[in-house]
Amino acid sequence: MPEQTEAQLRAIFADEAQNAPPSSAMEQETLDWANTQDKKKRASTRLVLVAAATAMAVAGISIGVARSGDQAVPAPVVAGQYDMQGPIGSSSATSCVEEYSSPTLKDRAFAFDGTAIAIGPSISDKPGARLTTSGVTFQVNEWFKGGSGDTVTVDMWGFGAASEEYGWPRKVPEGTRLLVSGEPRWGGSPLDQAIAWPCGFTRYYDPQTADQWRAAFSNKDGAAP
Amino acid sequence: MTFEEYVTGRGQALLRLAYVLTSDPYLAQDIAQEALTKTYRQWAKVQKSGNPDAYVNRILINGYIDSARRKSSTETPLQSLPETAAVWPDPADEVANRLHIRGLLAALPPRARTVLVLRYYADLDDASIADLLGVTASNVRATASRALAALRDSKDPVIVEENPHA
Repeated sequence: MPEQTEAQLRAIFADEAQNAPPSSAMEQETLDWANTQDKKKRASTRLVLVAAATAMAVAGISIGVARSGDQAVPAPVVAGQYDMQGPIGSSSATSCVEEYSSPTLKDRAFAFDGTAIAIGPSISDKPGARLTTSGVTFQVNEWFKGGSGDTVTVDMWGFGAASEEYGWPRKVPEGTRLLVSGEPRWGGSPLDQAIAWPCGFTRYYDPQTADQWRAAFSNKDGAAP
Repeated sequence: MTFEEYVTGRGQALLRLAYVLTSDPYLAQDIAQEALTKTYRQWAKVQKSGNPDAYVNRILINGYIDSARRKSSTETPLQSLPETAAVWPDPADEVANRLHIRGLLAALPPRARTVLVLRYYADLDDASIADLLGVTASNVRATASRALAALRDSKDPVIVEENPHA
């Protein structure tokens, strides 16, 4: 008798499920709503990046980049397996002021292949800055543009709580090798309060992309990154 | 998996579960959509959990129970079985029997109905049901037992006490 009731319940529920309305309209409405939320989020992020771009255009302060050594080219740090690839600092939540390409890469004020050796406080944040950054010190394996020291510290934004949302690693482990390019945040010389750009302009290292960057900065026509 | 892929891949199954719970196509769409929009806000976390269905179903079930309770507080409680029971002509008549059970199901408290739906439609075990409802497995067994007994035995109004702490 109990089995009969249970069997009846299964049959009844299965019948009801077959009579459920099609989900296509609900799915479309849900995705339209999510798309609207994404647009609001992107608009908010765009405000932040426009603020950063505007700040970069402001000529100014000329301190903040920690450099050591002016001549020596350090031996490349062995990066191990290149299992992490592609851009960092980019996500669907990021609106880019410039699209990553060979010509736009060449326009960056500095570019290098470096291995992260330390993370510290920002070198470019001002009180009330809308971008909160951390200063990441790299041992430079190769300069493509804008510098010549053994080490350099540049700011990278999006660390901490917001890191995953913006596609940055929560923490750059010591030994992580990146291809980094960017601008002086508040204007000036290439490495004055330098900030790494997202949107493809800062990427995990791999030999092929490094070759493309080298070609882009050495060849006037440049290879497509 | 992106949120869009999840919605298009699992939307129909979610709506079916909502419809089996509510028997109301409009309410089913409302609570299914609400479950998805709440999930979207936590999508990164939900993805990491590796089990989006459990997260979405929990929201959906809570939405159903809340809506059923709001509804019951604004409607006159059933004083007797739905009419289908009164005209139940013959226990051997499968169609009439199902009509009778449908009427009884409609009169069950929302938590009891949910337990039955999750057991006999979603094929979840008692531990999984308990996890979704935020109660113990023994509570699930007790609720199911009382609900099944009511369905089997009742020619009277269905009274299944809800005691989430049983």
